[in-house]
Amino acid sequence: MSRRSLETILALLLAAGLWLPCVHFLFQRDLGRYRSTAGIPAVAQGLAASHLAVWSDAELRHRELDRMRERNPEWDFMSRTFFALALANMALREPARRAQACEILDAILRNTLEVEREKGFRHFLMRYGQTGRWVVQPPGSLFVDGEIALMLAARRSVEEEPSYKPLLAARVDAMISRMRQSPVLCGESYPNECWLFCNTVALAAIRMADVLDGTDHAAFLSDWIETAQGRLANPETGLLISTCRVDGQPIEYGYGPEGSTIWMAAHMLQIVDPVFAASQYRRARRELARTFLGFGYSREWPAAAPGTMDVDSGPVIPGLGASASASGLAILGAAAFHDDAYLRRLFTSLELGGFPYKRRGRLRYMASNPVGDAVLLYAMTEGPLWDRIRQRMRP
Amino acid sequence: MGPDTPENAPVTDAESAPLEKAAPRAEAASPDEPSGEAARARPPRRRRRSVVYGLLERAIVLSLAFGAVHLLGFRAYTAMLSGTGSIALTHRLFGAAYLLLHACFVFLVPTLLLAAALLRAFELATTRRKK
Repeated sequence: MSRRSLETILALLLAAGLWLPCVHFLFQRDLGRYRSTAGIPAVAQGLAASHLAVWSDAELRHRELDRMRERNPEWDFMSRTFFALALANMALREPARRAQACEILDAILRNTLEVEREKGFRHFLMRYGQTGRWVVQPPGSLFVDGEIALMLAARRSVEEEPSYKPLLAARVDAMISRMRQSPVLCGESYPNECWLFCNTVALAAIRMADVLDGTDHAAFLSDWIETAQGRLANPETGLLISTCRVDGQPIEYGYGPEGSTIWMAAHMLQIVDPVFAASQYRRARRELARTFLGFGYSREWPAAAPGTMDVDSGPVIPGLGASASASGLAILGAAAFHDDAYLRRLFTSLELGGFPYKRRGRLRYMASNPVGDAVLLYAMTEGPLWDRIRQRMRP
Repeated sequence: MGPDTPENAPVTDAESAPLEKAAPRAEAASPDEPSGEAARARPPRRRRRSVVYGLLERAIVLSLAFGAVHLLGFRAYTAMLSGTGSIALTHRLFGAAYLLLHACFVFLVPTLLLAAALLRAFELATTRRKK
């Protein structure tokens, strides 16, 4: 190698060494653009405008939902849930938005319940959910029931709507009945698959129903936490695993904790058992939260319990173990637990890798999908709904 | 840097080869020009400068290319990353082109500029030491 080539290579290496640790400064924004305790932050307003456009225009809604369903029917369903939660938070934060929020929340609920009634709950499941054998009879998915119950409860938390009261009570009874048939108190999301993501959503909905209707399922919630600590926690990390059979046996593809589950689970558990939720967040932070050159991300699996890629994890970057879906949900976790340092680094990564695209006041992250954008919107507006539930929870 | 005399003029990679080939002719044409060993000793300095200009050229070309795809609105096609964008092959190619050029613009262009500056600083320091 000539001296000239060596000099050039050395100069390039030195330049890269100087530049790469500084790249994140280009993408670092003021946290106030994403999270605010007063009003709706600027970025959230852009994201909300995109979702509101979808739910205000029937033709656009059909096109968007159909496109999502083609890829994954769960996306269609989950985008509704996260957007509904975001709307509830926005309405509670800015009462001037209440009327519009309730109108859209009602439209989402009406459409969701109608689709479920006409096509069955399996319509929102991936294909294997339509053919497998459900252990608990009659069949029902905690994924669908839990998220519908959560939406109903969120809507009622913004403004009481009497017609939703019996619907929420019926969902809660059905969920608890099915969960009680499992020795680990977990209901099936898919045939003989009990996903902790869905089960913690169901627990949060049960707690909200208790607050709204004065019912008391505290003993059941407490039993669930105790059972989970004993039988559903990964021994190496103490984190909740992702999925198990109805009899409590971990499933091969979710035997350990996963970033795409645990951040959401910890957030849902905040209104079920705040102490346990905080300990899950701390453990997840230790096992999954990472920073590379100033960019924050979440691993999908802890180093101690590696897993395999699936539709939930999405592509995982080799070496780093980073997953887009885990990182997106980590934004929700960090926001909910006021972990500003990690949150800032995650948003820095979002600006680099999310490819924000704003047009006519509507913001989309091009590398994300409508579910991802709805999760981000919820993470940016999260707070008032959970605060309201916590204030009204029995001591 | 001196005035743009033929000796000081920027030399790019593409130009350096013909210059080297032309050297013996120049030697023959002017007996006052340094001959043999001296002539061979000078090209590295020129070549180093050509490397600096080469790096700058690449940085500029990449920046212009990225600016072009950005202004053409190719950012909208990066939806191919999430699988929710258009499935047309051309749109996916537009998205891929944007991703590649964006990565180059963010990571590579500043590195090239810094490397050029470092090489130039090294060159100036060497010249001063020799003087």
